[in-house]
Amino acid sequence: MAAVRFRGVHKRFGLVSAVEELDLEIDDGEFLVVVGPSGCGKSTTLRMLAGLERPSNGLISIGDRVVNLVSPKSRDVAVVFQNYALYPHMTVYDNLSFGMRIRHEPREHIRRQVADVAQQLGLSALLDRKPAALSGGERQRVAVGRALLRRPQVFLMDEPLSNLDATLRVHMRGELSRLHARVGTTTFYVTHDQIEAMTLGDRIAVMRAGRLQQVASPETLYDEPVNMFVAGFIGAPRMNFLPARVTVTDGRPCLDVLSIRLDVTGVALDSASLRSERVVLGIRPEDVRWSREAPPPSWPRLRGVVEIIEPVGAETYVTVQVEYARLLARFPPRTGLRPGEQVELALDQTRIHVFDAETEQAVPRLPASALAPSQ
Amino acid sequence: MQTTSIAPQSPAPPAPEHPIFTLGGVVRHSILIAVGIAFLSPFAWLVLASVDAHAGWGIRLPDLTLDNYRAVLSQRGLAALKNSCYLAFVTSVIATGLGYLAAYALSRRHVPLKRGIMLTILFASGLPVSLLLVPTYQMYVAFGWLDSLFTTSLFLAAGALPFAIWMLKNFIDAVPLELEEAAVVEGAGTWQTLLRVTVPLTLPGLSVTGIYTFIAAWGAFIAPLILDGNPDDEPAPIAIFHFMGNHGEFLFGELAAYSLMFSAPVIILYFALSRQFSGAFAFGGGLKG
Repeated sequence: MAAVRFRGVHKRFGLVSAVEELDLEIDDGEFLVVVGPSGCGKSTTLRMLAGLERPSNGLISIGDRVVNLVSPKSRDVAVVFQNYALYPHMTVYDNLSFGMRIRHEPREHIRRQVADVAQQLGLSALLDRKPAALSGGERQRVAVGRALLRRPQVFLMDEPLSNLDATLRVHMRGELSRLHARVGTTTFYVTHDQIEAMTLGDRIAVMRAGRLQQVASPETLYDEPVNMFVAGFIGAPRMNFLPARVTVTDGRPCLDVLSIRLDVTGVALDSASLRSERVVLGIRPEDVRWSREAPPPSWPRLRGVVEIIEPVGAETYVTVQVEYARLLARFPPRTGLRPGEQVELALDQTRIHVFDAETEQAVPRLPASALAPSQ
Repeated sequence: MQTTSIAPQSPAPPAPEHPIFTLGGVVRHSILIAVGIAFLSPFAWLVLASVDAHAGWGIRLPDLTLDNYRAVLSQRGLAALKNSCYLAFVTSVIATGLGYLAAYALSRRHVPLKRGIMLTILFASGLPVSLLLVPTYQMYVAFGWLDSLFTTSLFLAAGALPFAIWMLKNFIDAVPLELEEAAVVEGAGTWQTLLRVTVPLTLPGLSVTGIYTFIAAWGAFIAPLILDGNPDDEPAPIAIFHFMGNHGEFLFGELAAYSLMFSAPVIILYFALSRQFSGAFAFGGGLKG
């Protein structure tokens, strides 16, 4: 096991910049998930760590060793590829033992190791089969088994679950979590699925267009996104964004949004850092409630017309047309509502996010110490 | 008849969709049959004449004998077949082996001007061999390479190389790069990756290319004629040429017998080839779900 560190890493393919100025540290034993839309540079980052691509600039280290010039086979990493990359002409046993046979380990030792891992992953009965005769989930387990047998310093996983159907994906997600808890190997996991990222990662790194946006624990990422991209990418359904204006009434900062005025003292905006009064208000669907759920009377109310009703079982997502905007709100199950009906919404103004309309960066908050004396 | 009857009945013969006995049908089929006969009659002559004691120009029922076969095998015919085997085998091994390495590099590595190189190779594969023979002859004189089966097969291999590279590159391109990357990450070097992953997955391509280059060299005539004047090295195509009127008379029976023996390996290899093609591109299960 080892820590991993990217320092000022760039990767250019010709004129195209795939990864820019990447500074990222992964602690020893940590499960770090890199998430972002396709083409954001996350797979390139993984390939640079595996040694399959060479960074154009910057240093990558595994443990205490800078590995920029170290060949993939000497890096002591194991990769689980998106397509599994099982050797089609070999049996499961030969696929699992390939690395050890390459390293000329004793045959009896190989046999015991393979049997052990096959047992852990429930592959014992499949050792004589070729990949073509396996189901998707079985192939995925063989690919994971092959990585496990390498006993690497770092696991690299490139969207390993994206080819599985939904049920199997949830199941394998749990398996991977348990596996990491058991072996504790540093893991670098790439995915485009934010739910996978939230459920698996000790920390999550969000990338966009080759640039790292934010690295934080799932909770921090959810509660304190640094910009509109992270706010919109993390969390499903997506956060609502509404254009708003910052005003000061009676010496207190307020937000004019739609036809209401929100008191934002509670969120401690550092309004001094605002470059313009035009901002974007972000609010997650679960912070927009139905007035029938009896939200606190202090929450500002809005009236609107129900457009779309999406019951998902334990809750219902309702899209409401409010003035010129659409708001997605989380309602309780079995609302009995129909499209076209009037509803009243209440906003939790302590849970709002405010972004600079121009830079899309989150407006910084005042430190708690600065807030305390005024209350 | 009731439609519910389950008793067996003779079904009405279905009306042919393209009836033969129309004017157009008769003309069409007559032409096809005539063309077929035109193509098949030389083969019929070959088979019949080879076992005919008094073979001549025409197709006729043979006076059965195996003397023709005995005669060609007792003469230099057998040695010539052996020479052709040697030429074809060495050419095929060299062209396929070198072609594979070149194709691998062109498929997997960054090669400057790759497109230009591939187009040049394609162009070279279409060049007639006779065009190169005069300068090659001079080169062989300078090197002292004349009159050797091995150096002759080097020339044939060089001629077959462009085709081999094109053919093999297509097969190597079809092997997913991730399989090689997986092997590299697991600790395999370039040669190990090549031999344990890429070569096994491109075996159909290797054998197709091997057989093709073998057959091409098996039929080679001009190159051995010019580059190898040693009578002991005479390959089968030149031997056949010698059966034809070399001594003022045609030995039709022996010519036919020898020609049949000469074609046999080619026919066998073509069958092997067609089997390989049906098994090509089988990467099932290695990737995806």
